[in-house]
Amino acid sequence: MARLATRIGLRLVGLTFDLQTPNEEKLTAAKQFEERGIETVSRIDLKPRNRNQLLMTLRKFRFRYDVVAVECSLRQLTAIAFRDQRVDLVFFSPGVSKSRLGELLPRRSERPVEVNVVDLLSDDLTAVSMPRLLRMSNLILAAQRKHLPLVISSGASDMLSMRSPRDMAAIASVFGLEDARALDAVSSIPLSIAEKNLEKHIPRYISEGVEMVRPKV
Amino acid sequence: MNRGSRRYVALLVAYDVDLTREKLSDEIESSVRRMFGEQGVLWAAPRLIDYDTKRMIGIVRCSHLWVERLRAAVALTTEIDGSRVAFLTLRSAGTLAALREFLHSQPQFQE
Repeated sequence: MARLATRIGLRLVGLTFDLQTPNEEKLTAAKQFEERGIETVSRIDLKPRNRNQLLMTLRKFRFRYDVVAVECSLRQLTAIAFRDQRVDLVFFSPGVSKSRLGELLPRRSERPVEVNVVDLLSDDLTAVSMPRLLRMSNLILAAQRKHLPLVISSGASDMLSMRSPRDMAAIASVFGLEDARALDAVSSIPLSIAEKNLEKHIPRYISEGVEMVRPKV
Repeated sequence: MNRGSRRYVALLVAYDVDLTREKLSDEIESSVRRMFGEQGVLWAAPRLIDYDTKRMIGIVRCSHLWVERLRAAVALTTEIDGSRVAFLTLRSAGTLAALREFLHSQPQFQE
């Protein structure tokens, strides 16, 4: 995957880990990419079943990972995930029907909604994948209508499910996203999320917009 | 009659087994057909110009108005004859010479 990522010109990748992934495994995965000059950020996908579980996992894992994404399947969870400052990305489980997507999205929010291209990959573009295509189209249009920023990720777990950023943007624009917004969804928005979180590793960082400044001696 | 502007797209093929030029050409056309129908194939006019089997890089010519749709169609292709495949576009250019120059200038495509 690291070799292909170099060939398609990626500079930064988000590596998703489980809650149980040991630290050695995380470091090995990151090292493979960093040896080829690709920066990495660690990411976790939280799939809570209720409000308390979401808040508890956020409290426990926020500072262990660079990016925290939350899967939303209930309206109650969506409201918290979109409001909580500790959440970087929100995505919807593929099981959520297209008619419910609109009601799950808040009216306006700064929290980006993530779309995974891997959910669309199927050898058959007819009966099997049609509901998935419709769902993606619906999600993109609903997010656009409600002025929510979008992030398009490959969601790849192996080499053959990787796609280049321009390809992912092209897929989103075919589904109704404006070209400029589609390019932002694969470049500037994910980059700003990564930069914002990597900034927290700097020792002088205190909180967003606040950092310790020492006078020169 | 004006034939319209064309664009050239470099395509990286990630495939488990060897893929012939004819098979790749057919697959690109059928991926556009699957997504945009027969009319899409006519308007996009995709044509495989070159395919380097060693580097697994193909160059496809298409209508300049259909570049993004061609990218989307090939990106959604996942299988050829039961084997998994991925097409990743690397770059598009207005002339074949510019695209070839880009591919020769980038060290990651020399492997």
